[in-house]
Amino acid sequence: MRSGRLHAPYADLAQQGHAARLGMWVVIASEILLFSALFALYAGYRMAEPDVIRAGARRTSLGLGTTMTYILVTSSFFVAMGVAALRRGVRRACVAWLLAAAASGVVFLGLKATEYHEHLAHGLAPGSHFAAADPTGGGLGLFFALYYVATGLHALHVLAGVIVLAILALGVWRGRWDAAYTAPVELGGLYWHLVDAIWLFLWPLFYLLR
Amino acid sequence: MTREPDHRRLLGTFVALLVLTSATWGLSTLPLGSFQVAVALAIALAKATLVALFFMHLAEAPRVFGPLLAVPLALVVIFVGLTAADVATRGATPGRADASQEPLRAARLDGSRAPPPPLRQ
Repeated sequence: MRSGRLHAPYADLAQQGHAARLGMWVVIASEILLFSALFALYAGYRMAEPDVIRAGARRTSLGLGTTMTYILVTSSFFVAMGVAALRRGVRRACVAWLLAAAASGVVFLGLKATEYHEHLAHGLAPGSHFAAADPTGGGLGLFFALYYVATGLHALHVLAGVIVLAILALGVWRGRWDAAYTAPVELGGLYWHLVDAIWLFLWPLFYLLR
Repeated sequence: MTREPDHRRLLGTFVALLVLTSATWGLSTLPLGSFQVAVALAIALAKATLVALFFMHLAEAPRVFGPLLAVPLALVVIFVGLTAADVATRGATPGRADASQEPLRAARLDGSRAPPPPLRQ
């Protein structure tokens, strides 16, 4: 066991890892509640203006959105395989899985940026610039304001996740974390799965239900 | 890559997620009417459950982790459910003086630049 890993007040690494996982689930719970505010707003909009929300969803790219869903699900699998590899002590494989997941995240962000660029090219910018491109007299702005906030907040989480995965891959590569202490990699993995799970709800709401 | 039970379970979860994603997309093309939202969200929930149980190892986690996830999820149901119920049971959108204009506005949502219809008196 490398020294310096075990911190007070824990008796051993297993106990410390258990406490860390518990803490991560508290973070996950607060993230779920953060996004639930946006989901509540969506539910209210959808009840009040169902046709406006449908019209807005028709303006997003179903092809890009669906592709991004497959990419995130796949990257989640990569991370799960990376954690499994580290638990078996195969550090090199773990690094490869983590980097593959981070690369998937970068591709996701690239597609998201492409989509934003397309929206802006069609005049679907948020705020006061919106009205000029909106044949519904401001109704679509309702959808797109929420769309930009929800997908933008999620994209920030993806960006943070990519950075975390890269740091974890580097740490595993250097031997900072190994089979004796997998908790840091597991926590990063939990965060990435959360980001994936949130997108699983954003995708139908903003792309499919048109 | 060795074929250990853990691997098989992760791979099975991954395949199930891919199948469910395709199913969501396929079902969205069917005319399900108001069931469309319920079906899409039910599948999303099923996928998130698979991710939580097997990718996030909740299935093998100590019991104390269960309430930690169940409580915020229950709160989400309350937040979203009550917001939706509140808006659905009001006559008009808050801030809109005249609810009778709603269908007129909705009729222009096809993207056409038709002139605004006359207001009902």
